[in-house]
Amino acid sequence: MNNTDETPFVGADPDRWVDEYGDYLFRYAMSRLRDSNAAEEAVQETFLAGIRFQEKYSGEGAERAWLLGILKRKIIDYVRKRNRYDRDGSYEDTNDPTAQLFDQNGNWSARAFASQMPDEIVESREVWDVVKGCLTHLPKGQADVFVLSVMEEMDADDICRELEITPSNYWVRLHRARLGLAKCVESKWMMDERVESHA
Amino acid sequence: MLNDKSTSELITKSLAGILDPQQQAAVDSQVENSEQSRKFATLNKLIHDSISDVAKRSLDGDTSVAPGLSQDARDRMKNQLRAESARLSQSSMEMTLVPDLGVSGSSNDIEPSVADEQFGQETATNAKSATTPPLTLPHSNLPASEARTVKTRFTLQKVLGAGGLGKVWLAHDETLRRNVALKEMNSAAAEFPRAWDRFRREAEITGQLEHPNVVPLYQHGMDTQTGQPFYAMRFVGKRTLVDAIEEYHERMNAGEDVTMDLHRLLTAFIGVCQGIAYAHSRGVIHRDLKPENVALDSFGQVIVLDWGLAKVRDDVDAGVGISNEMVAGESAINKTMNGEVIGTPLYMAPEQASGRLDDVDHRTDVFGLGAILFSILTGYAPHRNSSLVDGDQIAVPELLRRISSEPTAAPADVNSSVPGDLSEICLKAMQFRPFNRYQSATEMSDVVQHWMAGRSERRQQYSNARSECRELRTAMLSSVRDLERNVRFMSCLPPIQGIIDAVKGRSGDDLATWQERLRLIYGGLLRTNCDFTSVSYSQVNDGNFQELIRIERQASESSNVRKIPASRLASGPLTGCMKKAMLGNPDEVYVALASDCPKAGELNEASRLAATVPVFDLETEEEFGFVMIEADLDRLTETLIRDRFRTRGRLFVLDNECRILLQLDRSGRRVTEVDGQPMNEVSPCWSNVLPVLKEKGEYIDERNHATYATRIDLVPGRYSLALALCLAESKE
Repeated sequence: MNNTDETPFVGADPDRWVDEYGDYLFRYAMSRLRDSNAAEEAVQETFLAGIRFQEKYSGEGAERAWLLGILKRKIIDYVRKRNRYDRDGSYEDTNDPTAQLFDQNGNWSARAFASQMPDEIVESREVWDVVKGCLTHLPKGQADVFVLSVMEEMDADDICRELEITPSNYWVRLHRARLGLAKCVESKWMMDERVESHA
Repeated sequence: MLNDKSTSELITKSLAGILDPQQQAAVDSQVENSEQSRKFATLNKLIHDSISDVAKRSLDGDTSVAPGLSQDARDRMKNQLRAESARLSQSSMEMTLVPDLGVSGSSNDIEPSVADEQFGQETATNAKSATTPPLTLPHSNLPASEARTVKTRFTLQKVLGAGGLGKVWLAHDETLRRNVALKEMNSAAAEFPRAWDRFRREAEITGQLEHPNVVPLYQHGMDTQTGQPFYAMRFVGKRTLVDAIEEYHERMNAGEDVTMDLHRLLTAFIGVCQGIAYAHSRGVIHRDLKPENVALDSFGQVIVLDWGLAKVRDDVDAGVGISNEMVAGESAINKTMNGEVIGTPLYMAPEQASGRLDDVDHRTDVFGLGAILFSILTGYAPHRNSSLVDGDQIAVPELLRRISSEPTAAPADVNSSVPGDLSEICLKAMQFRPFNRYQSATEMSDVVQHWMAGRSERRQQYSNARSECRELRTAMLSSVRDLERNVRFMSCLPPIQGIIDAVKGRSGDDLATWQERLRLIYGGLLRTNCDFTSVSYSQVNDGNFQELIRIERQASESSNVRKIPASRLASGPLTGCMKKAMLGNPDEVYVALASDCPKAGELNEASRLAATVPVFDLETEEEFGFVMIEADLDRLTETLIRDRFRTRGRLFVLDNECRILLQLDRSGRRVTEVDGQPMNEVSPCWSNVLPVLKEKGEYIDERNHATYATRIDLVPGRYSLALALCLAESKE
């Protein structure tokens, strides 16, 4: 925890908030929402909510931690709304990677993960660069479930309630997200390795 | 035996940490035996680790996770936040403070516009509503974002209002063909889980309170598309008590007769009391009573709205009240709300303002009822003055501190036209400590009804008293005019000139003969006018007067009229009233109190009225003397009062200097202790009455109907008496 995190609450000051916490909250939102407009909107909503609740939270705890708490809520709300309006493309068969990865008997197809696996000791930051790109190619409904589950460490029941989906739908989305991500990361990694080997 | 697809699914669950040991063992075995499964698991672990790492770094503020805000975004954000901050500071005084909810009713929803959204609904029991084809909006001029068509029984027509929790629509029930009010949770509030609980509780509490003064609930359901709850209730019009109060005060300030307006407002107020009393009997405390939450229609219906902050008491009798089990989430909400401030600051009870929610009980609502009554009487919220410093609004926390530490002002201090006893009723309801307030809404209702009944009776009594006072004034003026006519007539009799001629040696009859003739006439006058105490004829020479004839009534025996022998006739320098009378023209009567005239007889000077007319020698047309009739003011007024006055009250007759000439108590008995004292010293409130009386000739106590005064101009512009009546001691 750094110094900023321990700044006591001193009342709403829009300019100071944006200057002191704007980047921090934006990066956090960006890593979860993967969309700069959405992240900006969530941060703005966070500050607006902060202004409205400032008296209630006056004098309590660290300001940045409080705003982060609001932002987490806003991210979930945004994801819920995004999913509500993007249901058609979220988890339809067209976005089902199982057809590509498994044969009719449910066994791995020959080309499922054909390439050399990346070294396990590879820097997680390097993996993130690849994962970040792959997440943008996943249907939002799958990527969001995956991010809320892994990044926000929300449990299945909470995600189902927040996104208004059934548990079975949740597992379908999460599994497809993992399959899709694994395939995407493997492919990109292989492509990057080839580029490097030809370089 | 698991196939690869099933294995991959179990790997996903394994990474989520939810597999039991047996499943985990099966997965481990498959991963060990299948290269593809192993690759899938390995890839997922790498992905998982990298994401966990990013999650941690983003939490720590690592700038490499993503770029920061652009300058444009930063500027946009600042502008919007400044605007919102300014808007909130303006509106916060009027808004309801709701824990966990935004105080603003405006939506900053990031959801796209929902024009023409299909609003699917299902009932609280999850039974699907019968669907009908979409209906066309009847109000095409609505903004697109406001206009929606529902595909089931309700057509949303227009927004009636919005609060912290939800938006209320005028909707048409297509099945029953009637208008309803439909409340849905607004998107801003929907972001907070407790808002859902609160909204559901509001619907459930409202639905369980069945009373003519509580809005009836028709349907509670949920929008299956947005997942947000709504409920439909009776539409009682858009007019609230706020509108009625504003109208009342505008009319009053314009000088119109608002007697019936106040009566209607108080009748509505009693309806609110009864609705709240019923809720209390069911264990429900409203906690946000204010004029905005009382709907009125044109036919006398009074409906208490907005039970969103209502609290269900734990100690209510089973089988009678609404229990917490009947209302979702109540106990949890109460626990978490302790120490928080709920309600509307400008109408808030001290125990609410200080966040002592354990102290909030039905008497908190009694304070709220007092606050509504305060608004009715003054046109302002009770804490309005506390919210201002030099005309500027103070911050809400400071206002709450003031409310929780200072007593509320009396309505009469804010608006001097508020009836004193009604102001006291209001003030009692808003006492700082709950045990000093009325102990129930019913008690408060009874007190106000009693006041209204008493006011009607008192108004009638006051009206009667005014009429009687006016009659009395007319009768007194008429008596004075009789006095004037009589003295004028007595100065025109033939013996008057006969005496002059005799005194001047011009006639054959001697003075004694003329004097005897005049004595007979004057004696007859006194015998037929029992209020007259004396009549005399005096000659004036060189600033001195000499009575020539005097007939007077014996003070101790009023029926005895006697002539004063020559040796006892008065003489001496002219008094003030004599001088003034002698300055007049023939037949010009000068009327004054006998205090200006010579002391004579045994009567109290202050209670004698003297009418004097100059006498001129018809031969020479020079002034000769004067005729004076004195009347006993006590007797005159008492006779008139007893004949004409039926009102029970203290009646005062005041002289020109507003000193007490005569006082009758409520039983009509003469009270003499304060005779001669200035009225101000007897009753301080008369300092307000007397200037009005002097300027307008009449003081009417529209506020308390306790005091009335009217001026009797004995000699217009020169000498007046006043009648003052106290029906009840004023509550000044």
